[in-house]
Amino acid sequence: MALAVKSEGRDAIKRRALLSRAIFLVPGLTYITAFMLIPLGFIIAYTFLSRGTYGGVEFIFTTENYTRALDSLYIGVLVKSILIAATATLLAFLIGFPVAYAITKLPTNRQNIMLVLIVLPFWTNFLIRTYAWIVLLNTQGFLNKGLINMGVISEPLELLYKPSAIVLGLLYAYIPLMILPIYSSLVRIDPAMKEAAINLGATPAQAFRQVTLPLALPGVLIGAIFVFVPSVGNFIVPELLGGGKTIMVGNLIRDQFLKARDWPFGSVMALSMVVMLCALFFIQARVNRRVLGDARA
Amino acid sequence: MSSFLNIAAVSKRYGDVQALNNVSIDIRENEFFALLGPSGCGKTTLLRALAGLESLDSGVVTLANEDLLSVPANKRPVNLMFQSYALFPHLNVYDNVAYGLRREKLDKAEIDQRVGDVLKTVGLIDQKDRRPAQLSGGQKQRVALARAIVKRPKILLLDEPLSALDKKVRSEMQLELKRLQHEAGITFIIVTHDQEEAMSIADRIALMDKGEVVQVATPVEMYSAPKTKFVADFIGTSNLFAGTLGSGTITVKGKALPTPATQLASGAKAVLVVRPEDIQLGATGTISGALVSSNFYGGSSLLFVDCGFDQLIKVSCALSEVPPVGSICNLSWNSADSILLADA
Amino acid sequence: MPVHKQLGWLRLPLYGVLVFLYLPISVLIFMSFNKSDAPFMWTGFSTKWYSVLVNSPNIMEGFKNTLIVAIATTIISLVLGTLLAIGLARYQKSSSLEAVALTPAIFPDLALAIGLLALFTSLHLTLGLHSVIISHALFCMAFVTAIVRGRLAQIDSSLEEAAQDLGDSPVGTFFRITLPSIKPALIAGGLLAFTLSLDEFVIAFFTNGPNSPTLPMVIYSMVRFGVSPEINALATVVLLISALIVTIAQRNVKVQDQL
Repeated sequence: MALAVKSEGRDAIKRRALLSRAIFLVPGLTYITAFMLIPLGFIIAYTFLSRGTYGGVEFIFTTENYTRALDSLYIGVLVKSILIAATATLLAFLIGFPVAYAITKLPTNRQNIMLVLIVLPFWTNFLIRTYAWIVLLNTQGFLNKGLINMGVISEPLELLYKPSAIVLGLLYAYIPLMILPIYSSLVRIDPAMKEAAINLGATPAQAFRQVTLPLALPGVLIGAIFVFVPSVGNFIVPELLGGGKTIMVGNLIRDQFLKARDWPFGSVMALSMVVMLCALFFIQARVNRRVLGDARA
Repeated sequence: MSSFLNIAAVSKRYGDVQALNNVSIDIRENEFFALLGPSGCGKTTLLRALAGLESLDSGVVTLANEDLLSVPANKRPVNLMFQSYALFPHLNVYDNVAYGLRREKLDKAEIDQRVGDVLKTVGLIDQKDRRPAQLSGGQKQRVALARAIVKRPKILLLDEPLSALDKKVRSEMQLELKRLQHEAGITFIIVTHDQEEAMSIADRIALMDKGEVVQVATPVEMYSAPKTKFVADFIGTSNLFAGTLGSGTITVKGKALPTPATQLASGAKAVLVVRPEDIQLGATGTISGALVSSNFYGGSSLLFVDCGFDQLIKVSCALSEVPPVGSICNLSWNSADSILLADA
Repeated sequence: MPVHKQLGWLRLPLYGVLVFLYLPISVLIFMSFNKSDAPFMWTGFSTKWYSVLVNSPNIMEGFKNTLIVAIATTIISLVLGTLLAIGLARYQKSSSLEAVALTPAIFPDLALAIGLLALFTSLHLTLGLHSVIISHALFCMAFVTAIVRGRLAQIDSSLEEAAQDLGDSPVGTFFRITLPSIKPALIAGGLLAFTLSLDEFVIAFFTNGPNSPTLPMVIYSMVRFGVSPEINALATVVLLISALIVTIAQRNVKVQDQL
């Protein structure tokens, strides 16, 4: 005998499921859309508008901002910023990789302590960490004093207010962000793989080059992005440690927005940073796929 | 006998995969019922749909003549024992078991009594203050069971309850489950991929494959009268000979084998099923071949004989009668013991 | 063989990096107790610079503002970030949405700062602590989402189904089962969001109004004028607060599990 199927009951269950899905996902995603995606949209839009008289923008379409940006002066700043950031990234890799590798060799309980120690400075105030180097590197600072006292040098060294100081400041700030992803990749490598390679006749050095290094590559690339992108866009370190003599993209953007009040032009440069970030992630994803097949790191 | 749980024409699709295809099963009250099949056959999907954790695309499910699917999961008189046990890690054993009763807003005294009773039944009353992390696998399972039973559901669903246990504990638990089911008087529906397990504890079994029900029967019926080649192959061990039917014989790889009485027409494609324990070794035989290997099972052995068919022929044999490897074995059987099935 | 011998030459980069990371900070802390205001010469022990801090109105104002921002940010980002993490764990098997949810954490802060500035000015919103809170909550939320998501991946997804099966309502399940099972991640996420907001400079710099500077902004204006002992004392205080917070946070959630 046919039973009246209570379809209203079933619909109520479906509606409830949809509602709970919305409650969890909608608030956060809306917030991100409103305060990250829309601002990004603003930046892109501003690149095509003209500067307003008192700052801000006027709704006059122009591509002049882009042509100005291609001026050799600004290109020069961009190139210099990329070079400085790249140097810092390279150093971070050369130092960070052995460190990450060393941590994987520690007993497990020590590993966590070591990771916390390395990550801790990252969670403290960026300004203070940069300021600390002014204290150390100043001509009357401790490093010079110490070297003079030890008789290594007779005159204080001009360590600050140069590009190399900027590289040092950036390296100091971001090296934890290189170490952590590399550690993460290394620790996920099944130790049996290296043993298998050696068992099949490879020397430890070959096993390292052919097994460990490629498998650590995804982490290395992520670390490189995490160091490079904030370095390129940084204005604090060039200002404090570079003495304003070396201008990087970050300083330029900040000046356009707060001093020259040329927002559209500043937006072009800010957009270039976002584009760089996307491009690097894209490259990283491609390399990932080449190395690991379809597996994602 | 009127059906207690009636599953009618139930279907569910996940993207490209038809997880359940027009499934209909009748389950009786106080039955110990098993949903059996290889992984991906839809048995777990069906179980979760009965619990209310999955929705169905179409079909009707009634429990004691009331529509079940329109009732939300937390209000169904159905409880599920999860494969991973899903014990709440931040609550102790007592609070885990009492959780469901507290949601029913019963008074404290009654909750205390029922929880105490069920913990005594599963033998865990001394562990009531422990946290799940401090229990062994078998103990965790008994807590999960207690937590579901204490609510006195009309139906208890069990998702692969014994798969995580090692063999000895498993057979003990099988007896435990049977005993509990009788005492509690609850209908049990168990999902398993292990046909030995289903055969030993269930009153009736539904064998499923690729989202469809292939056969519903008691263990004995399923073993002695399988409906299709799939059933014969899945349940127990058997020898399958696929060939063309003649009159009174079936021709397989050029050899004519005797067949039992059948409705199938001559010339049809058919499969002859012969169980290893029905085959005898003798001086002469219907088929013969060399012994390739034998597996030792304690009480008896299983011989693998190469008679020129697609697979090796399996023969049960007492330990004392196992011939040397390589020797020629002559195999024969009573055609009335064999089963003839149409080859789909 | 004891651990340090096992590492061999790796000891050099490992301990070298630790020295590199902690030497400048140690010098700062050390000099904050210097008696005189000679910036590079130790003249004796004194805590007077700390009392200078307490008696300095604009520093205390900065502290107050930063605290307001950090607390509000933590609350907002905990709520939104946790909801999002649960939503992603339960309902989205697609990785693209997860990537979007985590992007605010790695987005270049300068680009984010000016984008938000552009948004606020076009809405004619007056800038103040509220605009800083909105901005901080954005990237702090991504960190909370990441941490809670990490924890959710480790726990049995059947727990919530079990609670429902036993008769609990969805709301009851959320408060009785879901939240308790992610409690450590909530604590760690909240603490990390707090400390991120506490120390954040770039975004606050662009989205704040002129009347209510946050502590990092105060520090910035002090630092531009050069080295001074008050800064050392202030730096020490800020460093120790952050260090304390992170130490407590990592007791709840291991760094390794987040990677």
